[in-house]
Amino acid sequence: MVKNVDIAIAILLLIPLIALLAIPTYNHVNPTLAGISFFYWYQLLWMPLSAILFFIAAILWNRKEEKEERGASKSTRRNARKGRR
Amino acid sequence: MINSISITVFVALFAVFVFLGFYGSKWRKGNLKQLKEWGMAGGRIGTAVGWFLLGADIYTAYTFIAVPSSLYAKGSIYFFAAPYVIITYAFAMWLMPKFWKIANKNGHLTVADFVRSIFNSRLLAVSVAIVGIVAELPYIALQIVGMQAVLITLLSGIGALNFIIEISLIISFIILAAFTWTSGLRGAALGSILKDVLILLTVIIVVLAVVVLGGFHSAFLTAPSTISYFKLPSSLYNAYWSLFVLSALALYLYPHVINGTLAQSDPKKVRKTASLLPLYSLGLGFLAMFGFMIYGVPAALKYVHQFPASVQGTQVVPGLIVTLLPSWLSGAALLGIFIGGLVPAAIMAIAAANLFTRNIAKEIKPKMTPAGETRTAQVFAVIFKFLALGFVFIIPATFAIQLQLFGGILILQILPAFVFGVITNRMNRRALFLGLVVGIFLGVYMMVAANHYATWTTTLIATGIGPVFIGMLALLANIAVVVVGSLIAKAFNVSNGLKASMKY
Repeated sequence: MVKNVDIAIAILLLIPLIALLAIPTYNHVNPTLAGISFFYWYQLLWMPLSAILFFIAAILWNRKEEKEERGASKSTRRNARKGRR
Repeated sequence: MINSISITVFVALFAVFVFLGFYGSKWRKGNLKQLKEWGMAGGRIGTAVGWFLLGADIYTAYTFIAVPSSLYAKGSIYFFAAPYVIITYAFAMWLMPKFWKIANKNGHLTVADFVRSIFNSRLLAVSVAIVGIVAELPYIALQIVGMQAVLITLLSGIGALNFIIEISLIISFIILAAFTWTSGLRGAALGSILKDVLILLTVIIVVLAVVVLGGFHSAFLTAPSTISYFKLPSSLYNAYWSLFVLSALALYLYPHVINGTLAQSDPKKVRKTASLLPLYSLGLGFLAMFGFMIYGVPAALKYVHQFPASVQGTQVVPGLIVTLLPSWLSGAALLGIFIGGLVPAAIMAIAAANLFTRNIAKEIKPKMTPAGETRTAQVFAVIFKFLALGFVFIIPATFAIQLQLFGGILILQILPAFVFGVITNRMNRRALFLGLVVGIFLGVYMMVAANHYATWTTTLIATGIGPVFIGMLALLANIAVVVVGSLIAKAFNVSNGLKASMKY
């Protein structure tokens, strides 16, 4: 089952990929930054931006897994009790 | 400037590094006679050290020497390394925690262990192990080229250039072999912290120096217009994205990266570590730009031009260091680059040796003692480094990046077995084997053909949509064989012989 949190994680992971695949959108010399052409500094900018997006995705994902693990251990305990009865 | 001060600093810091290597073998002590202890630090590596250890997979001679060198020689196309070291971590976050869990529950220590138990196929596992080992060899060769480049810089004043180039290669190799033998993965992990500190410091200082000197503006004006340095020629769009997407998919398939991932203590840490690594990639981005930045520093450009074209590119970063930094600091920075080749080469050789011992030697001789296993791994780590040396002679040092890309073409061929293994076990093992064989042969054939049967200077091949990375074409052929083969096997109800005992 696909939940909202799964969609959020997928979007967070895919944004940098889509931005970097769209080469014609950033393949320009201008505007330059400290003499560096746009082509370079735009891609450098995506490094910290991606780290932020990925880190949020990692937290969401880890939290989701923790919840699932707790849920799973609860339901196995429940099943074990049922089995005994 | 290179003088006695820089050489003294270099040697003194190298002594500190060697001490860390030996200390590493006692750090969080385990029995080094056990393969898991020598080769995986006993699986007790946490977030901080794990960050450095996996960061070390990026901060290698690839970053310090090969990428700036190829950018200098061929222009902006080789900036593909920057998006590569962003996208690869998204791939890692998606796949590696799940792989870690499966491997942990079933006691897998290598990718071949994993493939063998998922698909219940010894043939597929041995093939994956062989491809993993062979793919590491050119990557190790690249590290040796990096170490050699630093020694060339240090020794360039003392004699005939050709002699120095050769002697530098020999010394690099001996130091590498001795270091790996004694310290194992723990020593390498501690050494990589020193390396990263020195390198990050160097990058920051050199970039600031160039900005203060107005180097970027003058690089812009003085760079030759025959090479496209400041934006991408539109004919290379497909080359650019195929290089960065496929490199991103390849990184986490390398045995040493899988080894580093499994050596971490928790899958959630694996994911968190990967998510923050793009930040670390900034250093790679700046180092890559050294490739054209050098045109803004006339003294460095003059330094580089004294070398023959075959090694010229490898002197870009060392050249900027020795012309812009005071002697003591350039000694420290050069040591950072030197161990930046040494540590990753050791990590890669250890991973290849682990793979050989567990998945090939033990198939032949199942009753090996634990001490015998470690000894086998140590011996083969040295043998693999010798084999790696062969690649140094196929590819001119300036084009050393092709070593890593060729390794990528090979390692990508285990992607179907690995990825389909993690996300679904529905693929047929014989189809996976056939796909792997097709991919390897096609990849090597295209490599040889694209370089017109001469020395290797490119991994791109001309197609109807312009040049593209050979690794992508070989992988597509591989996947096509796997999918079609599995569908046929299903249609004819061929059993895929899966074990019911696998724990997901």
